[in-house]
Amino acid sequence: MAIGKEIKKFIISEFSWLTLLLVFIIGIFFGKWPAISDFEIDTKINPIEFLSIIVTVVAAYVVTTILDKGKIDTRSAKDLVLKRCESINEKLETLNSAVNTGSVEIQKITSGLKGVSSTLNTIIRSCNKINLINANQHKMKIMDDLGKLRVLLTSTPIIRMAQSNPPIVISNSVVSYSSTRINESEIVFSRIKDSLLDLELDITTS
Amino acid sequence: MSGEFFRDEYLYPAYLKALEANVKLVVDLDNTAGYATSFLEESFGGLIRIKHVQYLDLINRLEIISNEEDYLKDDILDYIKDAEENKTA
Repeated sequence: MAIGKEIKKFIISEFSWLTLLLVFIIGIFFGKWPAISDFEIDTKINPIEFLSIIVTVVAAYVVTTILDKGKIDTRSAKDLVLKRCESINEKLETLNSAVNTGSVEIQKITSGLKGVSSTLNTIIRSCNKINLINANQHKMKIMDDLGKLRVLLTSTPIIRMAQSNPPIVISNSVVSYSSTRINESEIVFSRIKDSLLDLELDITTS
Repeated sequence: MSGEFFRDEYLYPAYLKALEANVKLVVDLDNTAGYATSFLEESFGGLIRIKHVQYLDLINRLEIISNEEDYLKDDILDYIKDAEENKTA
């Protein structure tokens, strides 16, 4: 390990010497250039050309430091928001898998749904704050489906209206779903995932 | 906790106190792990359906705080309205 470091140090120092030598040779070459050719250097400064050089340097500085920085900032903001979208996808996937087992603790469902809607609110707020996209339409669509999902997964029939084969039953804080209810919720889950993909595409291409 | 238990043990007694003192009944729904639809329906719709609370008084007296899930305010008002409509139907 130590030998490797020594070799690396030697190469770097040799490289620095080589670079210096190369610069030195190029310097001498350009120093002698007017003497060995018909090349002439005009020592008078044209103010218009000088101004043009200054403007070019300033423009290059503005483009690289200000405009590019703006682009990098927007890219970083998009990445952060897209990461949040991905976290919603993961939460939905966890919830979907839990529902597909047929019975799950009611608290897992309610907290999962709350987690999804609160992360979605954060995403929409961020999009609006940094003017990425107008995400309110996406919000309405996803929240509408989340509302439907909440009813499908957490609304048990009122006791006096109890059915013989209810699609959803809660007992000891565990909720059980009929296969029909699982299929119904599956449709809404995939619709929300599609809407989320639309939102992610809009953010990426903005 | 079931919606029925919450309504009978907490919400309805709090409503009676607010009615007696003629003040607003403030219900803060934030800082929880979320609510089941049936819990909210049984709690708030049940005030009309089971406890026979006056609809207009309830919607004027009730103040719901739900910053984390803002849609719950509308949902609860819908449950109360539905309970009232089903009562009179």
